[in-house]
Amino acid sequence: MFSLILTNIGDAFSKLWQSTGIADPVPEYYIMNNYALSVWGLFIMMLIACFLVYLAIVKKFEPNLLLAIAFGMFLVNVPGAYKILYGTIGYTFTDGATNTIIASGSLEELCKTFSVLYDPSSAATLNASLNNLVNAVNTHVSSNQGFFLGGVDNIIMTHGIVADKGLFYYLYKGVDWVIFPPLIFLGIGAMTDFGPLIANPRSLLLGAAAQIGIFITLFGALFLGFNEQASAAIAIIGGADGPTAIYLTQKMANTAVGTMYQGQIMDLLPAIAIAAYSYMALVPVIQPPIMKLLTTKKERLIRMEQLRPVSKKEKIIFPIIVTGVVGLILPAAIPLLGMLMLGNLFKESGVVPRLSNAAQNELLNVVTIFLGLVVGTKAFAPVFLSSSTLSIVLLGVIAFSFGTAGGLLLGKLMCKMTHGKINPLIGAAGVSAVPMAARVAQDVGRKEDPDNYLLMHAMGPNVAGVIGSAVAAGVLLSMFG
Amino acid sequence: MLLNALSTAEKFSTGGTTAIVGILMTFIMLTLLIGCVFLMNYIIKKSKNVVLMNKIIKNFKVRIQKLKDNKVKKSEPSSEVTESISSDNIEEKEEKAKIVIDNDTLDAINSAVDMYMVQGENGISHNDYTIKHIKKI
Repeated sequence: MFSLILTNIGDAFSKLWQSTGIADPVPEYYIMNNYALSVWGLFIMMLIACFLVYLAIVKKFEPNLLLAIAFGMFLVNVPGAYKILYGTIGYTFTDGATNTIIASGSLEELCKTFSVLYDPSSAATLNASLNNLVNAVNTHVSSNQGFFLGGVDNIIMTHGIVADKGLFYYLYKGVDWVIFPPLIFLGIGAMTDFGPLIANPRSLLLGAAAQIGIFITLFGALFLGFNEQASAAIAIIGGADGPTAIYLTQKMANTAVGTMYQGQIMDLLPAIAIAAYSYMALVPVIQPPIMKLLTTKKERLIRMEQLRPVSKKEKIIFPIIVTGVVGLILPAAIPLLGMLMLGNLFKESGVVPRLSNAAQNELLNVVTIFLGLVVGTKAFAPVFLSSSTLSIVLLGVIAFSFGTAGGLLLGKLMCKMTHGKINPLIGAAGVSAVPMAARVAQDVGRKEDPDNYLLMHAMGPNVAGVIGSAVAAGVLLSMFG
Repeated sequence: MLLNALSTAEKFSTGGTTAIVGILMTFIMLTLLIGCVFLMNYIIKKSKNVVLMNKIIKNFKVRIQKLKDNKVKKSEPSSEVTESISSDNIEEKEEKAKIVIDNDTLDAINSAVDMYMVQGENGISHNDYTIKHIKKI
C-alpha cells in the first residue's frame, strides 16, 4: 500500500518534471535542426526583450507597439512556453497523388505508431529517429500500394503545429492570412488628415523619393544571396511602415518557392517586423544626423508659405480618387490603400462618427495589441538568433537611411527649383512613420529657428509616404508576388 | 530564378534593373496621383465658380431690376402719399429714399466686383484682390 502511494507520488512528480520548461525547454524540431544556441538563446532573447521593455517604458520609444512586441518576445522565450502558446510541432506525411494524410503527429507519437525507437537524448539521436520513421512510413506505403496511389515517391513530409493548438496559433492567423495590417491601415486612415497633401500635391513626389531606400536595399539584398521574395520583404523596411512590412513579408512568404537565404528556408517575419518597428521608434535618433549632413543651415532656415485651406468636398473626393486610380493600375496595393482610404472617408464624410471613432480607437488598439504580441512571439530564439537576422537588421537601417536621404535630396532639388520656397527638411518626412517623421522635421527646423513651424508642411510628405510605401509594396508584389 | 546560381555581373544587372524599374513605377504611380489631385482641384474650383457665377448673375439681375423699380417709384410718387406728407418730414423721407438707392447701388457694385473676382483673366484668378475704394465718376 505504502509503496503504491510512493509510486503514484513518484509518477506525479515525474509528470510534473516532464511538463516543466527545464525538462523540455525547446521543441525537439529546433534541437534536431541543430540551431545553435537553441536553449541558451532563450535566455539571450529574454534579456533582449527586457531591454526593449526598458526602451518602451523609460525611453518611451513607440511604447504602444514596442511594449507588446517586447512582452510577446519574452513570453515565447520562457523555456517550455512555445508548445503551450503555439502547440505541438510535429510531422505530417501526405500522399501527394491523392492528398490523403498518411500520418500526422509529434515525432514521439509517430515513432510509437510506427514502432520506431524514439531517443530524444541529442540532436543526432533525434535525427536518427526521424530517418527511421521516414523509412517505416515508406514501408507502410509500399505494403499498402492499392490504398496509397502515389506510392513511395509521392510522399510529402511537412512540419508544423499538429496538435494542442494554443492561443497564439489562432492569433497568428491574423498575420498569416494577412488580416491585421489592412485593419491597422483602416485605423490609420481614420486618424489621418490628408489636407496638407491636397493643399500641396507636389509633396507626393517627396513621398515617392523617400521610397528610394526600399529599392536600393532590394538591390543589396539580392546581391547578398536572398531570393527575390525575401529581398523584397527586407527592402520594405525602408518604408518605415510596420503594417506594410508585415503585409508584404507574409504575402511573399506565402508565395516564396525554394530557398529564401543561402539554402535555408527561414521565417523572415520576426526579424523584419522587429526591424521595421524598431526603426519607426528610432526615427528621432536615425534621421537628424542625416538631415544635418545633407542640408545647409541656410536651407534649414527656410520658412514656408502657409498652406491654402482645403474644402470638405476635396477631402471626401481624395480617398475615392486615390483608391480608384491605384486600384486600376496597381491592384496589389488595394488591400492596404483601400482600407487606408476607407478609414479616411469615414473621418472626412462626417456622417459616420461612430465608425470613424471605432476605427481609430477600439479597432486600432485591439489589432495593435494582437499584432504586437504575435510579432513578438515570432522572435523565438532558435529561429531568431541567426546570421541572417543580423543581415536583415543591417539592411533595414541602410534602407531607412537611404529613404531619408532620398526625400531630403528631392527636397533640395525642389528648393532650388522653387527659388527657396521649400524647406528640404520636409523631404525627410517622406518615410511614412506618421507623425514621428514630420515631428522630427519640425524639431530639426526649430533648432535653427525657433519660430519656424514646419509641422503642417511636413505632414504632406509624411502622409504621402504612407501612400508611397503602400504603392511600393504593391509594385514589389506585382513584380515578385 | 535561383539568384545564387548567377554570376556577380548577372546579379548586378538583375538587381539593378529590378531596383530601377521599381523606383520608376513608384514615381509614375505617385506622379499620376499628383495629376489626379490637380485635376480634382481644377474641376472643383471650376464647378464652384460656375455655381457662384450663376448666383451672382441672378442677384445682379434682381438688383438691377430693383434699382430700376426704385427709380421709377421715385420719379412718379403717388398723389395720396404726397398729400399726406407734412412739410416737417419731407426732408427725412427724401434722405431715406437716398439711402435705399445708395444701398442698391452698393449691392450692384458688389455683384459686379464678385463677378470680376470669379471670372479672372487669362486663367489667373482675381480672388486675392482687395477693393480699397470705389470712386463715383
